[in-house]
Amino acid sequence: MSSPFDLPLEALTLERGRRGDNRALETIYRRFQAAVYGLARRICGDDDAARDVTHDSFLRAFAGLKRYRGEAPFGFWLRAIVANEALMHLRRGRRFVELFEEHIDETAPDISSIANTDLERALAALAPLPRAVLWLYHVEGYTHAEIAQASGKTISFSKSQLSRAHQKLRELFGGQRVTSPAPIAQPFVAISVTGRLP
Amino acid sequence: MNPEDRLQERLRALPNVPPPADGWPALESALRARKQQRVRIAFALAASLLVSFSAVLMLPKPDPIITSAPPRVAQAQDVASLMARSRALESHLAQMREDVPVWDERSAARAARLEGELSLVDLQLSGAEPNRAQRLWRDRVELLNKLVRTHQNAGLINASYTPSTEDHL
Repeated sequence: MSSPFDLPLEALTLERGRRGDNRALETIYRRFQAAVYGLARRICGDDDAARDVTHDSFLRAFAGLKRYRGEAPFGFWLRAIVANEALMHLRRGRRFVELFEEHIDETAPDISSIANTDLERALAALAPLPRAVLWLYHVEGYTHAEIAQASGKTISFSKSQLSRAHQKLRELFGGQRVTSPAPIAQPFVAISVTGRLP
Repeated sequence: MNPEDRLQERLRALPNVPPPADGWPALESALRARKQQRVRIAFALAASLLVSFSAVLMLPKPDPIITSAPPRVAQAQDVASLMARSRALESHLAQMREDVPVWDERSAARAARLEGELSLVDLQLSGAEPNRAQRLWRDRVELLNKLVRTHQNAGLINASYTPSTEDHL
């Protein structure tokens, strides 16, 4: 499955958008709003922040349309802006926690049998930055170098945050085989888990 | 399929949260406000340039026998020239702000610090005496120069950044 940002944009619409044509800007907004909001929501973790980041990202993108030269598909250029805005939002909110962690294990947890609802809850339980790195790396296809650049940190930092996210998911799902509903205090294993971690 | 691929597949398969329905009207109104602000800035800039140019013309001309201007006149001319320089830099910055769609954290922090110092200078300038004003205008121009350089550096980072979807480390 390709990125939700991988959508075509007609050259004419782009050209009109550069000239400030309102209809063209609306066309661009409507075509990419789901992708932009989706990424902002995954990185920020809440609706209000995602709404703000979406708004600010489009404002910034539209103000900088003249600088977009078509070297990468438009959606990926826009995606870089959204990721940057969302990471800046986390930074402004002082939600970057424990910046440099020793990485423990780089392998991803095997969660093939986890239900979507549990995966959503697990994502919500991750600290903002590891969640952001996890999403950018696995879903948006960012490299560690790109994540480092977007967050203003180092490649090691990106790698350690990804390891941290993997570790947390492993803790949430790992090594347990649950066949009956779990107590309320353990919401992540409410649905049968059969995947066993390495 | 290894665990990493499986995790990737599962994350990508998660349903999208639908965006809010009222996003475009809010954005459209912000775009309109920004356009109006740009027009106002252009008018204000033109008017202030006219005023400072007139002020320079109205300054008493130095005695032709005296080779250098009296200190007070020289000071006023210097302030007028610093003011003009400051406005030119502000105008340049307004354009540059639009040219930097993506900020790296370090440049953003530096720009925020410089903007803060600039606000402080503006505050001091509002009640400054002529002697002090010259120094403050000089500081202001210096800060604006630094801000321009910060934007230029951020712009260079942007220009060198082309996101890739394949090159995983």
